Amino acid sequence: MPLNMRNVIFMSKATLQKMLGLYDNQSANFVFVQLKEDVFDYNDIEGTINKLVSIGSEIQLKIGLDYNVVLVKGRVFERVSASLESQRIMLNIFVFITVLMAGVLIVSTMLMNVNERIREFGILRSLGFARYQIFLIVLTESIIIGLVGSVIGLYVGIILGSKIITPIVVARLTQDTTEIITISINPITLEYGFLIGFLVCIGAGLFPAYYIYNLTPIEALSASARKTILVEKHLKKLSPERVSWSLFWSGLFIFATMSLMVVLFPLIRFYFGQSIITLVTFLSLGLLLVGITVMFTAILPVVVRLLARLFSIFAKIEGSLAARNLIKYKRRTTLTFFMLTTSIAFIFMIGSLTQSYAINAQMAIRYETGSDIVIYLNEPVPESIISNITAISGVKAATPITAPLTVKVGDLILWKQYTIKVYGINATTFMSAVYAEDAIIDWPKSENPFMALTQNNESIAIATGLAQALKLSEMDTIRVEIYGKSKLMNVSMLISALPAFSFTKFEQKAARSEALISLETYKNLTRGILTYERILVRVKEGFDVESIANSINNLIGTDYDIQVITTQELIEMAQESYSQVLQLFMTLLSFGIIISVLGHVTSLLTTVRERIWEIGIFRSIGVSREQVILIFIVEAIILSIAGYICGLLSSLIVVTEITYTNNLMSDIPLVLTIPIDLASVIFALVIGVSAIASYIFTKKPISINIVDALRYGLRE
Amino acid sequence: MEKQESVRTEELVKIYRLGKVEIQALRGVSISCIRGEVVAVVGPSGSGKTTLLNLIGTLDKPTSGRVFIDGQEVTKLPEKELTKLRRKKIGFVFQFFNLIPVLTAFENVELPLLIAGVPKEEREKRARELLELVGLADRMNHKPDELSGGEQQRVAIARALANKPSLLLADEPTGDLDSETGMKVVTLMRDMVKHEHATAIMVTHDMEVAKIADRILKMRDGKIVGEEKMTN
Repeated sequence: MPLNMRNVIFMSKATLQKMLGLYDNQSANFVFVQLKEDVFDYNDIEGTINKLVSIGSEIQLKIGLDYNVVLVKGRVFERVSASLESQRIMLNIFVFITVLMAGVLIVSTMLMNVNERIREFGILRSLGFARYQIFLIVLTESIIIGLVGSVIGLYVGIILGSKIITPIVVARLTQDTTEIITISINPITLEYGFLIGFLVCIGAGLFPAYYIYNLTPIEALSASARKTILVEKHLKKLSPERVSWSLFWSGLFIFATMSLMVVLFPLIRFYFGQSIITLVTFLSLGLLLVGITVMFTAILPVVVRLLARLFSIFAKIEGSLAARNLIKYKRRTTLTFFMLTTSIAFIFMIGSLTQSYAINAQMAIRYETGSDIVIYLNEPVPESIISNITAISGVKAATPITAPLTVKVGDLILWKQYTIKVYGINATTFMSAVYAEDAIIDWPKSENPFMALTQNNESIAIATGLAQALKLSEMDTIRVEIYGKSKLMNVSMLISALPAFSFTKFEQKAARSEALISLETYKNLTRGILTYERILVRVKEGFDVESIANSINNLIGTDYDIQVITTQELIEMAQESYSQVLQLFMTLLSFGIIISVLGHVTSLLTTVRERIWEIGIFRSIGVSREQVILIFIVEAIILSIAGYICGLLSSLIVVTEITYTNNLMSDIPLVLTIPIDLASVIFALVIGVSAIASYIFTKKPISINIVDALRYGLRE
Repeated sequence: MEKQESVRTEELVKIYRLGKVEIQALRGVSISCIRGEVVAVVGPSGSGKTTLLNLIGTLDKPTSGRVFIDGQEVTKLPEKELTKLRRKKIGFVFQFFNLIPVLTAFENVELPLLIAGVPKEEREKRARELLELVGLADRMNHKPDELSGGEQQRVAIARALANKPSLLLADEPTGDLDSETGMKVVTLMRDMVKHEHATAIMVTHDMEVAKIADRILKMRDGKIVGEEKMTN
């Protein structure tokens, strides 16, 4: 027994056998194996564990599967590693915050420094120094500070670590043990420390250097010139033609934050109830969308100018005036545009997601059932039933699936192990009786990959995710424990997805995966007992699934307790429920869009009233009433199209993100769909309502007498 | 060269109704202007100068009487025809410039040409030419609020002459300018009108400004009360 093993309880062999649930004739002997010290690398826990597993596997092979190899030290290592990992993360966060603070401190110090010496830089510029030379001067200073600071920091760290912290830690660790513990500083840590310190200083020096780089000599020399330029810059920011960058970054911030929430959806689904999930989902998606529409609103002048350029091809004056007026009255336009974009984006997002989820639900149903018809057998049926079903006119193929065997699978020493269900299938008929086109099998394309299960009676098909978790590849051996007996089986197939069964490509979902074996292997494992759980039936193209299901029911339903389910029926039910939800959403959101468009046109009407004087000028220089109305209609349409396009793009971004995030952890992929019919209806709705409403609303103000219209301007 | 009649009014009467009160702005005004002539209409406030100008410019309709432009009676023309007439034959210069604020000087001058369907190249050439003539070649891309009052009025003159109208109507063109700038502007306007061989009717209450015209019509209480020929 190892000397360093503490708290040992001595007991009789019989007591131990009883505790372990062993019979009298079974041995409960243990063999302790002490490995050489060079196996253990305390700086590389994972590598050490891998080595232990490999040694353990070798031992297992030598002693056979009647004995268990347990990696006691490996388990300890694993626990320590997990605990160290969380501490390491905490320490890294602490280091990150410290480095960030140091960076901010250096930036502010450098800024103060360059501000104090701003005249000096002005003189240098007036003497003929180029911008980049001034930039380099400031940057070199920060590099020197970085070098000096990093070296000093390292020395302080080494001294503090070796002379103060290490003795304290060693004293605490050796309090309860006689072992000699040494703590050493990893040289890589020193290199990283130096590099990070140096890079932070350079990064922090860039901003002050860039600030100085941008100053003109007169700005550097005169404080009043700097103030004037500052005022000019602020005034420029007020110009309606400028992109509102502060708004843009705010939108981006909301978008980024909410994107993080979307990534955390699975976690929320795990911990919270349905009401919270729905609330969080709606809030997050809504804010995610709002984040993007805010970004689009910020760049409204750019969007309007682009569209106006397009419109100018057909109506130069109307397009040009519309764009300019939209930008001039930006304060009013901005809110309308935001409302319009957001409501359009919402309706598209709901439409697209509902359609995607509807398709996904269909796929899920196909994966769930696996074939056109599933016959669940509630009592044993003779094998001849299969050929009777196949004989029904219109049946393409029928295949039986056995009742599952619950087995423990793992690597050779069961270092990692999972309890999964194993099904027996008829390898010959299986392929043609399931939705094979939906399957994802890591297997060279051949006529029937499932025949690989019949290579020998020890072949098994497992999920790709399970193989990854157990670090196995095709043709490797997997340890299977069934009815308390262990045996090694050959991994003949890796399957990522297969209808009718739960296969996965994700390592994290390995525990919920299933496995397939041939009927012969199944019989071997069950000592000849073959029990069918269900029969999958595929129908020939052009034949009515429901009537074949009825024929099956008539054929065997009277004699046996069975349940016949058709995939088509389930899909239709799902489709109906989705289309009801979709219709409800669409109706609600269509009202939203109409209200937004009317809001937009009403704000346009206010603008028209304010611009009666302008109408007077147009009319006095020979612009006809129709042309003036057209100017306002084009204005309304440009804003509506801008809202439509930006809304569509916003929803596409969100839907793509949701689809991508969903597919990161989903075996049945969510297919991104763009509801073209919905897009066309909304386009017609938005453009139609804008054009008609703006025509109606502007017709009356336009009919005002020219002289009165011009006087209106004087009153204003 | 035979003197061609450009504008003629016959017994123009304009009555405004403010509720039950009737205000007779014009009481039978008959005038006639020949091509190339610059006519100034002077008189105190409320004498009917601007009303006369608005009726000649087809911006308003008379209660009775007739207006002829280039021999064609315009009083009874439908709205569509009047729009065409304003587009092709009449140019306006207002007291407060009345430029489109969102368009640049160049675009303001280009606007009437665009509406008249003038091809792009010709349009741009004409706008540039006019702005050069009014001395704003270097201010073409500035918006009205970036120009001084005098500059804005020069843009307005260039815009009024863009479609080579036969008639230029100016309502107090110097009203919002200082006297020196005002004189410069009206002198420029007269020169431009002569250059384009158009007729100009200018309403003003400033006698100094009126003196640059070929003829001065004096109004009082909605009637022409006197006429003075100038020898410029």
